[in-house]
Amino acid sequence: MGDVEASTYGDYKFVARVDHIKTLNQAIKSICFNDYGMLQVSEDGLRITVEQGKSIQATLFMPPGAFMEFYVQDFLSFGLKMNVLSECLNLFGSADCSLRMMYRDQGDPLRIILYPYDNEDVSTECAIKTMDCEEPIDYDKNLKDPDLNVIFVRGPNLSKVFHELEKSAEEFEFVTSPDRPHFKITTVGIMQAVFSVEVAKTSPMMMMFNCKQTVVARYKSQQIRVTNKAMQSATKVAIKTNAIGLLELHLVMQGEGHEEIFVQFFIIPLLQTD
Amino acid sequence: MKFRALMQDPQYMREFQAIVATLAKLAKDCVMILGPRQMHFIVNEDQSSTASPLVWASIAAEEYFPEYRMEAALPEHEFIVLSMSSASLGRALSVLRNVGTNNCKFKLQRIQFPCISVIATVLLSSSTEAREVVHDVPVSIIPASDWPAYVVPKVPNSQLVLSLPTLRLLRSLIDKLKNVSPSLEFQVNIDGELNVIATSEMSTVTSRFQKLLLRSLEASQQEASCCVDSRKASAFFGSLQVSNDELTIGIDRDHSIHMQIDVRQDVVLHSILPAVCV
Amino acid sequence: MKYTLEGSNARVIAKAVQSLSKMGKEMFIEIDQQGLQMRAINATQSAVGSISFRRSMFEVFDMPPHSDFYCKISMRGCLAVFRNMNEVEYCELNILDNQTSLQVNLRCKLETTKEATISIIDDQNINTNINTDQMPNKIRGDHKLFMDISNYFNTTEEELTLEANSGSMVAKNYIEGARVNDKFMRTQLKLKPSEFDQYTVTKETIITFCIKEFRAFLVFAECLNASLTLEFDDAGKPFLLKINKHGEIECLLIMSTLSPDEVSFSEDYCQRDLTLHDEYVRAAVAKRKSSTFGPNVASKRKNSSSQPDAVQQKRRVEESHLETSLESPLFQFRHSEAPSVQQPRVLAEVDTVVLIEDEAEEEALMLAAADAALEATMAPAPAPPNSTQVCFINTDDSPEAKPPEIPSDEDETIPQSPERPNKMRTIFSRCFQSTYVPREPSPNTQLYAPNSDTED
Repeated sequence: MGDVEASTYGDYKFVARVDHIKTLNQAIKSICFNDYGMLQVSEDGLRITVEQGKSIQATLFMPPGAFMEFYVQDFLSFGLKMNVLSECLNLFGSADCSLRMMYRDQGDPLRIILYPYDNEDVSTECAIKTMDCEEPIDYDKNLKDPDLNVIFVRGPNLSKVFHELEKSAEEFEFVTSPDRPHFKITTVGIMQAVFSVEVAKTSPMMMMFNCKQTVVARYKSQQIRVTNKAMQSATKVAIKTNAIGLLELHLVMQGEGHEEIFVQFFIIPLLQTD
Repeated sequence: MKFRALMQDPQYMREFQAIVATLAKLAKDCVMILGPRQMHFIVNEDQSSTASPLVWASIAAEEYFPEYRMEAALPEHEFIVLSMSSASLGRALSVLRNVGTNNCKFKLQRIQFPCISVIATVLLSSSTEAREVVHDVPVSIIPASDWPAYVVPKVPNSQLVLSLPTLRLLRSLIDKLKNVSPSLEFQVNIDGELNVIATSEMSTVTSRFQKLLLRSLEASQQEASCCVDSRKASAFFGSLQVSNDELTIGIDRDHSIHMQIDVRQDVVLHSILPAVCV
Repeated sequence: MKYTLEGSNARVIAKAVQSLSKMGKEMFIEIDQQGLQMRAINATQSAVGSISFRRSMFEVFDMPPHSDFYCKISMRGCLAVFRNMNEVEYCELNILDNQTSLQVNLRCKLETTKEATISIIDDQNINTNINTDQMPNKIRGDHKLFMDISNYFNTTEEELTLEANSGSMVAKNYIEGARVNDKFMRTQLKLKPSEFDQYTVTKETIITFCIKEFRAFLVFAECLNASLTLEFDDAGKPFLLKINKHGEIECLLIMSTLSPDEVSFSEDYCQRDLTLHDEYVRAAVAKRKSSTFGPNVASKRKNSSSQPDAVQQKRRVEESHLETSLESPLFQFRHSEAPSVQQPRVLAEVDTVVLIEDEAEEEALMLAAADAALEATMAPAPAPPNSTQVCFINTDDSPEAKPPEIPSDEDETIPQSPERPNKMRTIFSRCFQSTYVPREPSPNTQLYAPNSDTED
């Protein structure tokens, strides 16, 4: 549906339609750890980036194929409040809706219209104020090294592993290694106890295991937990780390029509003092 | 002063329980007005800082109670007026949800202090025997001199009244909208349309419900609107425990919104949301 | 030392941990030749729960012969290990060599291994030494029945009262005739003996105990799909809850019950019941005359002057005792310079105060113990079996265990209450007692405690 005449859209520069809101809703909720989000639309698709300090970044990416209808003129970028966006998508709670998104130009609000499926006489239109956009940090190029440790894991299994990590820990230590323990997370900073979880590379939850070096790095537990919501709805997760421990979690979420939404986290490791 | 009543029908018992559970979600205390043929409950925490709206329920005694005996303190009195913890009453009645509950008696009596005793007989699933559960809900008796403060509210005059066949979507919407804006504007028009508008610094959310049934209108009124406290509106919708899905919504322009749920004929739940200035 | 279990047995242990975690902040583990025991004691020390697993539940039970092991670990840590057990296929417990930590290794599905190392806080154990047989009243029923009963009462309820008669049983959240707050909703549930699998009530009684711990064990019984046995005597005497699953898992919950003379009865309660209760209270008080209480005895020796108002003193003793029991651990361990876990243990030296049924002997024992304790240390005396006959045994070598239970009220032996060490804690201490019934003073009850006065 990408090649519709521009005139159909009047003065709208961006129009998109999603048939089932659920996955998009989950994806947006999973990156709402900071209030300010940067939205970018181009021919490649839609990107929403959220950052916290300079240590964690999450990007939601929807390729045009994930939409039922996708129209864009030029490259658009603007900032908005993530909570407001998430609230709007959530207005009908668990009731399934289809959604239409529209944007005219800089300074105009982003319009979102929800149509609940179980009542065609009901609809909601949200006009969300937009702001000027900053440029997100580009971590991607840091993770282009050929000697990355890369692991692909089934989402629900990994989600469980992450979810069961002891919440009172201050930090988590990740080990990825070609030798045992292949993938291990250990809690740091709990009084009188140490917890760890280890997954063998031969485990059925591993879809691919490619580690060339042993990388040990620590992360703030709060930042790891930020990824939990995304992990819960992910079907597959790629864990990538470079030699200094920059961690990328690349999650794939699948919608009802098998369209895919991607959420990518970059997490900076803590400095090793000892 | 005497009061006793008996319930036997499982469906009625569940409905009665649902009404009281609704009130229990709204306010700490409720007022029970026992009339010769009607029972009323009122919750009103309007004066306090809580977000609960005024809600009341009127129940025709003969609908629910095969036995209903009320004797006021003095022959010239028409009512017994009691005040009690709505949570306690709600808990006492929660036994009425059980499948095995066979019957339930209500008795006003004095055990150290006045109580409404709720005596339920529960059949055991394992045998034909029954078990008796008694809850004594402490009550305070409101003297007749104070009754003027506890009269059953009157349904306000609305310019336009519409009925919503199902309140499910509206309910979840209002719950979410209270986070968007402290006040909500309800607009109704003669075409059977209800708009709920929430405006905040960062967004404007307009929700439209169409093809609603027009129940009544004052002559030559095209539309009516009223702005109400979104927390109060949300508290009302959030409290609802009755299984009825149809809601009647009447707007007295810039004065109030009246919500009504007919649990059955002569068993009605009402709420009034007063207008707020925007 | 190494112990291993298959997944489903490990899940049972996890449930036991979850139940015990509702009682106390510390978990006491004891391993001996018979099996493994876990215990917890609640904050007000009115309930002690123990769950023991027979050796046969373990696949590997590597225990050096003629030895045993005990330790105290934090409940929180323990709970964290045993939280998500669905995926667990195999569980291995290791006491690490120097006995400073407990290692739990959980082998889960999908080749995932979880491991936890929990520091052992102390080599401490608690023991109850009360006679757990020969209670005059014994009631057994399915967990569903007790769950039903429990569900009729609100989760915020603190106590449950059972009125057991030979022909009926009434469960209440109040004591008949007792003063209650005028906002308090009374609930009662009438049960018939036929609803129970066994119903032997030879001594009609009314007992009141904490419902929270009762519920914690009830949940465990539900998980085992086992029946519960309640055994009890009179008010003020301990109440037992037992669960036994094929002789492999045995649970024992010992709770103190509210003593009748701690209840203030309502004046406007109907006359018949009131007189009934008066007799009942008198009887109970008379019965308790012979029992006595360690610290009181000790204090008697220090201050021999008698007090004019014994009743008032009685309550003050109670309060100050309560204060100590809240403030200080159940057992006053003599903390050595180095943590005791780093020292080799003398496993054989377990001080056990044996319960003696005969009252004269009992008293003699207590007096002797009190003397010994007074001379040895000026710390509180050891725990003789008091009226509730619950006694906790310190496995360390300092026998300074304090009786946690409702103190007795032997008027003649209580000339003076011990000094209150900390006034701020004393004032509201009763409110923290789990057996506390909110009530108003009524004209016919004597005000035992003077008004709280921070000035003195």
